[in-house]
Amino acid sequence: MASVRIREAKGGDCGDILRLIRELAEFENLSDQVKISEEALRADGFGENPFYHCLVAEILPASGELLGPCVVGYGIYYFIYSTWKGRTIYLEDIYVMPEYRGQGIGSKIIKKVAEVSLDKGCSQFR
Amino acid sequence: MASVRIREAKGGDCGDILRLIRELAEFENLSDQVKISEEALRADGFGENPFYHCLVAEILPASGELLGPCVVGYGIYYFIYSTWKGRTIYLEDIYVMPEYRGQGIGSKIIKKVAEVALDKGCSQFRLAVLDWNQRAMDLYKALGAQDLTEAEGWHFFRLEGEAMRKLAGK
Repeated sequence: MASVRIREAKGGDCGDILRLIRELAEFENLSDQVKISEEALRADGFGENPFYHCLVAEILPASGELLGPCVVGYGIYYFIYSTWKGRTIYLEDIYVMPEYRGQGIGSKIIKKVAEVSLDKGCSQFR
Repeated sequence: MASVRIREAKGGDCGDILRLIRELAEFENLSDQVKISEEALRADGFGENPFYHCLVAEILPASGELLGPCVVGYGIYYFIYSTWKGRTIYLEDIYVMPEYRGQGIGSKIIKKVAEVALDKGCSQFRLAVLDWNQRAMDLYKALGAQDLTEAEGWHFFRLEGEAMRKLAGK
Protein backbone atom coordinates (compact mmCIF):
# COMPACT_ATOMS: atom_id res chain seq x y z
CA MET A 1 0.00 0.00 0.00
CA ALA A 2 1.31 3.41 -0.98
CA SER A 3 2.35 5.88 1.72
CA VAL A 4 2.57 9.69 1.77
CA ARG A 5 5.66 11.71 2.61
CA ILE A 6 5.83 15.48 3.14
CA ARG A 7 9.28 16.78 2.24
CA GLU A 8 11.05 20.00 1.28
CA ALA A 9 10.85 20.68 -2.44
CA LYS A 10 14.00 20.67 -4.60
CA GLY A 11 14.72 22.62 -7.77
CA GLY A 12 13.84 19.56 -9.82
CA ASP A 13 10.27 19.61 -8.44
CA CYS A 14 9.43 22.90 -10.20
CA GLY A 15 7.71 21.17 -13.11
CA ASP A 16 5.36 19.39 -10.69
CA ILE A 17 4.92 22.52 -8.55
CA LEU A 18 3.88 24.58 -11.59
CA ARG A 19 1.45 21.84 -12.63
CA LEU A 20 -0.17 21.98 -9.19
CA ILE A 21 -0.14 25.82 -9.09
CA ARG A 22 -2.15 25.74 -12.33
CA GLU A 23 -4.56 23.14 -10.92
CA LEU A 24 -5.11 25.32 -7.81
CA ALA A 25 -5.79 28.41 -9.94
CA GLU A 26 -8.25 26.34 -12.02
CA PHE A 27 -9.98 25.23 -8.81
CA GLU A 28 -10.19 28.89 -7.72
CA ASN A 29 -11.66 29.88 -11.14
CA LEU A 30 -8.72 32.24 -11.66
CA SER A 31 -6.61 30.28 -14.21
CA ASP A 32 -6.02 33.25 -16.46
CA GLN A 33 -3.96 34.88 -13.72
CA VAL A 34 -1.12 32.34 -13.79
CA LYS A 35 1.73 34.04 -15.62
CA ILE A 36 4.71 32.52 -13.84
CA SER A 37 7.26 30.25 -15.54
CA GLU A 38 9.09 27.16 -14.27
CA GLU A 39 12.39 29.09 -14.64
CA ALA A 40 11.18 31.96 -12.42
CA LEU A 41 9.91 29.50 -9.81
CA ARG A 42 13.28 27.77 -9.77
CA ALA A 43 15.34 30.98 -9.65
CA ASP A 44 13.16 32.61 -6.99
CA GLY A 45 12.78 29.55 -4.75
CA PHE A 46 16.06 27.70 -4.99
CA GLY A 47 18.73 30.38 -5.21
CA GLU A 48 20.77 32.03 -2.48
CA ASN A 49 18.04 34.22 -0.95
CA PRO A 50 14.79 32.43 -1.77
CA PHE A 51 11.58 34.44 -1.94
CA TYR A 52 9.58 31.41 -0.80
CA HIS A 53 9.82 27.89 0.62
CA CYS A 54 7.94 24.86 -0.63
CA LEU A 55 6.85 21.52 0.80
CA VAL A 56 5.59 18.76 -1.47
CA ALA A 57 3.42 15.76 -0.65
CA GLU A 58 4.71 12.68 -2.37
CA ILE A 59 3.03 9.30 -2.80
CA LEU A 60 5.66 6.60 -2.35
CA PRO A 61 4.64 3.44 -4.19
CA ALA A 62 4.46 0.15 -2.30
CA SER A 63 7.34 -2.24 -2.91
CA GLY A 64 6.92 -4.12 -6.15
CA GLU A 65 5.18 -1.22 -7.90
CA LEU A 66 6.99 0.07 -10.96
CA LEU A 67 6.06 3.78 -10.85
CA GLY A 68 8.34 6.18 -8.97
CA PRO A 69 7.16 8.65 -6.29
CA CYS A 70 4.53 11.09 -7.45
CA VAL A 71 3.97 14.66 -6.22
CA VAL A 72 0.27 15.07 -5.39
CA GLY A 73 0.18 18.20 -3.27
CA TYR A 74 2.20 21.22 -2.18
CA GLY A 75 2.38 24.14 0.21
CA ILE A 76 4.25 27.37 -0.44
CA TYR A 77 5.14 29.66 2.46
CA TYR A 78 7.42 32.58 3.33
CA PHE A 79 8.40 34.68 6.33
CA ILE A 80 6.76 38.04 6.91
CA TYR A 81 6.52 40.49 9.81
CA SER A 82 3.78 41.62 12.15
CA THR A 83 4.62 44.97 13.73
CA TRP A 84 2.51 43.85 16.71
CA LYS A 85 3.85 40.35 17.28
CA GLY A 86 7.04 40.04 15.25
CA ARG A 87 8.13 37.17 13.03
CA THR A 88 5.26 35.54 11.20
CA ILE A 89 4.84 32.79 8.62
CA TYR A 90 2.49 33.12 5.66
CA LEU A 91 1.04 30.16 3.79
CA GLU A 92 0.56 31.45 0.24
CA ASP A 93 -0.68 28.21 -1.37
CA ILE A 94 -1.91 24.84 -0.13
CA TYR A 95 -3.28 22.26 -2.58
CA VAL A 96 -3.87 18.53 -2.86
CA MET A 97 -5.01 16.83 -6.08
CA PRO A 98 -8.72 15.87 -5.86
CA GLU A 99 -8.13 12.12 -6.00
CA TYR A 100 -5.82 12.33 -2.96
CA ARG A 101 -8.05 14.43 -0.72
CA GLY A 102 -9.74 13.15 2.42
CA GLN A 103 -6.59 11.42 3.70
CA GLY A 104 -5.26 14.29 5.80
CA ILE A 105 -2.51 15.28 3.35
CA GLY A 106 -3.48 18.97 3.42
CA SER A 107 -3.52 18.94 7.22
CA LYS A 108 -0.08 17.26 7.28
CA ILE A 109 1.35 20.05 5.10
CA ILE A 110 -0.23 22.78 7.26
CA LYS A 111 1.03 21.13 10.46
CA LYS A 112 4.53 20.96 8.99
CA VAL A 113 4.39 24.69 8.20
CA ALA A 114 3.23 25.40 11.79
CA GLU A 115 6.21 23.34 13.05
CA VAL A 116 8.65 25.30 10.87
CA SER A 117 7.15 28.58 12.02
CA LEU A 118 7.67 27.77 15.72
CA ASP A 119 11.21 26.51 15.03
CA LYS A 120 11.99 29.85 13.37
CA GLY A 121 10.61 31.91 16.23
CA CYS A 122 7.35 32.96 14.60
CA SER A 123 4.37 33.80 16.76
CA GLN A 124 1.77 34.06 14.01
CA PHE A 125 0.68 31.97 11.06
CA ARG A 126 -1.37 33.78 8.38
CA MET B 1 8.80 76.52 6.37
CA ALA B 2 9.38 72.92 7.37
CA SER B 3 9.77 70.29 4.66
CA VAL B 4 9.14 66.52 4.62
CA ARG B 5 11.70 63.87 3.74
CA ILE B 6 11.01 60.17 3.21
CA ARG B 7 14.09 58.12 4.04
CA GLU B 8 15.11 54.57 4.95
CA ALA B 9 14.86 53.95 8.68
CA LYS B 10 17.98 53.23 10.75
CA GLY B 11 18.33 51.15 13.91
CA GLY B 12 18.23 54.33 15.96
CA ASP B 13 14.70 55.09 14.68
CA CYS B 14 13.20 52.07 16.45
CA GLY B 15 11.98 54.12 19.41
CA ASP B 16 10.02 56.40 17.06
CA ILE B 17 8.85 53.46 14.95
CA LEU B 18 7.44 51.68 18.02
CA ARG B 19 5.73 54.89 19.12
CA LEU B 20 4.03 55.13 15.72
CA ILE B 21 3.19 51.38 15.64
CA ARG B 22 1.34 51.91 18.94
CA GLU B 23 -0.45 54.99 17.58
CA LEU B 24 -1.56 53.01 14.51
CA ALA B 25 -2.85 50.14 16.68
CA GLU B 26 -4.71 52.71 18.84
CA PHE B 27 -6.25 54.22 15.67
CA GLU B 28 -7.32 50.69 14.60
CA ASN B 29 -8.87 50.04 18.07
CA LEU B 30 -6.51 47.09 18.53
CA SER B 31 -3.92 48.49 20.99
CA ASP B 32 -3.96 45.42 23.20
CA GLN B 33 -2.44 43.41 20.36
CA VAL B 34 0.91 45.23 20.34
CA LYS B 35 3.33 42.92 22.11
CA ILE B 36 6.52 43.74 20.25
CA SER B 37 9.56 45.36 21.89
CA GLU B 38 12.01 47.96 20.56
CA GLU B 39 14.78 45.33 20.84
CA ALA B 40 12.91 42.82 18.67
CA LEU B 41 12.15 45.52 16.08
CA ARG B 42 15.83 46.43 15.95
CA ALA B 43 17.10 42.84 15.78
CA ASP B 44 14.53 41.77 13.19
CA GLY B 45 14.80 44.84 10.95
CA PHE B 46 18.42 45.91 11.11
CA GLY B 47 20.42 42.68 11.26
CA GLU B 48 21.95 40.63 8.50
CA ASN B 49 18.77 39.13 7.04
CA PRO B 50 16.04 41.61 7.92
CA PHE B 51 12.45 40.37 8.19
CA TYR B 52 11.17 43.78 7.10
CA HIS B 53 12.17 47.14 5.66
CA CYS B 54 11.06 50.53 6.95
CA LEU B 55 10.70 54.02 5.55
CA VAL B 56 10.15 57.00 7.83
CA ALA B 57 8.68 60.42 7.05
CA GLU B 58 10.66 63.13 8.73
CA ILE B 59 9.78 66.80 9.18
CA LEU B 60 12.94 68.84 8.66
CA PRO B 61 12.71 72.13 10.50
CA ALA B 62 13.18 75.38 8.57
CA SER B 63 16.54 77.08 9.08
CA GLY B 64 16.63 78.99 12.32
CA GLU B 65 14.33 76.56 14.13
CA LEU B 66 15.90 74.90 17.13
CA LEU B 67 14.20 71.50 17.10
CA GLY B 68 15.83 68.60 15.20
CA PRO B 69 14.02 66.51 12.56
CA CYS B 70 10.94 64.72 13.80
CA VAL B 71 9.60 61.35 12.61
CA VAL B 72 5.88 61.79 11.86
CA GLY B 73 5.05 58.76 9.76
CA TYR B 74 6.32 55.37 8.64
CA GLY B 75 5.79 52.50 6.25
CA ILE B 76 6.89 48.92 6.85
CA TYR B 77 7.16 46.51 3.94
CA TYR B 78 8.69 43.16 3.01
CA PHE B 79 9.05 40.88 0.01
CA ILE B 80 6.68 37.98 -0.53
CA TYR B 81 5.76 35.67 -3.42
CA SER B 82 2.77 35.18 -5.67
CA THR B 83 2.77 31.74 -7.26
CA TRP B 84 0.88 33.30 -10.18
CA LYS B 85 2.96 36.42 -10.80
CA GLY B 86 6.22 35.99 -8.86
CA ARG B 87 8.03 38.52 -6.67
CA THR B 88 5.67 40.77 -4.77
CA ILE B 89 5.99 43.56 -2.19
CA TYR B 90 3.72 43.77 0.84
CA LEU B 91 3.05 47.00 2.74
CA GLU B 92 2.38 45.81 6.29
CA ASP B 93 1.94 49.23 7.94
CA ILE B 94 1.47 52.79 6.73
CA TYR B 95 0.76 55.56 9.20
CA VAL B 96 1.02 59.34 9.46
CA MET B 97 0.37 61.24 12.71
CA PRO B 98 -3.05 63.00 12.59
CA GLU B 99 -1.65 66.52 12.69
CA TYR B 100 0.47 65.81 9.59
CA ARG B 101 -2.22 64.24 7.41
CA GLY B 102 -3.68 65.86 4.31
CA GLN B 103 -0.25 66.87 2.97
CA GLY B 104 0.37 63.80 0.83
CA ILE B 105 2.90 62.21 3.18
CA GLY B 106 1.14 58.83 3.13
CA SER B 107 1.03 58.89 -0.67
CA LYS B 108 4.76 59.77 -0.79
CA ILE B 109 5.59 56.73 1.37
CA ILE B 110 3.40 54.42 -0.74
CA LYS B 111 4.93 55.75 -3.99
CA LYS B 112 8.41 55.12 -2.60
CA VAL B 113 7.46 51.53 -1.79
CA ALA B 114 6.10 51.10 -5.34
CA GLU B 115 9.43 52.40 -6.67
CA VAL B 116 11.36 49.89 -4.54
CA ALA B 117 9.00 47.13 -5.70
CA LEU B 118 9.74 47.75 -9.37
CA ASP B 119 13.50 48.15 -8.75
CA LYS B 120 13.48 44.70 -7.12
CA GLY B 121 11.57 43.04 -9.96
CA CYS B 122 8.20 42.81 -8.22
CA SER B 123 5.06 42.66 -10.30
CA GLN B 124 2.56 43.04 -7.48
CA PHE B 125 2.08 45.33 -4.48
CA ARG B 126 -0.30 44.08 -1.77
CA LEU B 127 -1.66 45.51 1.46
CA ALA B 128 -4.56 44.98 3.86
CA VAL B 129 -6.92 47.53 5.38
CA LEU B 130 -9.72 47.38 7.94
CA ASP B 131 -13.21 47.40 6.45
CA TRP B 132 -14.30 50.57 8.30
CA ASN B 133 -11.24 52.61 7.25
CA GLN B 134 -12.97 54.29 4.33
CA ARG B 135 -10.44 57.12 4.05
CA ALA B 136 -7.57 54.66 3.61
CA MET B 137 -9.56 52.51 1.16
CA ASP B 138 -10.39 55.61 -0.89
CA LEU B 139 -6.70 56.56 -0.98
CA TYR B 140 -5.57 53.09 -2.08
CA LYS B 141 -8.23 52.95 -4.81
CA ALA B 142 -7.25 56.44 -5.98
CA LEU B 143 -3.65 55.19 -6.19
CA GLY B 144 -4.78 52.31 -8.40
CA ALA B 145 -5.28 49.42 -5.97
CA GLN B 146 -8.04 46.85 -6.38
CA ASP B 147 -10.08 45.46 -3.46
CA LEU B 148 -9.54 41.68 -3.72
CA THR B 149 -12.20 40.82 -1.15
CA GLU B 150 -14.72 42.59 -3.42
CA ALA B 151 -13.25 41.43 -6.72
CA GLU B 152 -12.30 37.82 -5.92
CA GLY B 153 -13.78 36.98 -2.50
CA TRP B 154 -10.58 36.41 -0.48
CA HIS B 155 -10.73 36.24 3.32
CA PHE B 156 -7.73 36.67 5.58
CA PHE B 157 -7.09 34.06 8.31
CA ARG B 158 -4.68 34.00 11.24
CA LEU B 159 -3.44 31.45 13.80
CA GLU B 160 -1.46 32.34 16.88
CA GLY B 161 -0.66 31.29 20.44
CA GLU B 162 -2.19 28.06 21.70
CA ALA B 163 -3.92 27.25 18.39
CA MET B 164 -0.60 27.45 16.57
CA ARG B 165 1.26 25.32 19.12
CA LYS B 166 -1.49 22.71 19.05
CA LEU B 167 -1.37 22.57 15.26
CA ALA B 168 2.41 22.12 15.31
CA GLY B 169 2.03 19.40 17.93
CA LYS B 170 4.15 21.29 20.47
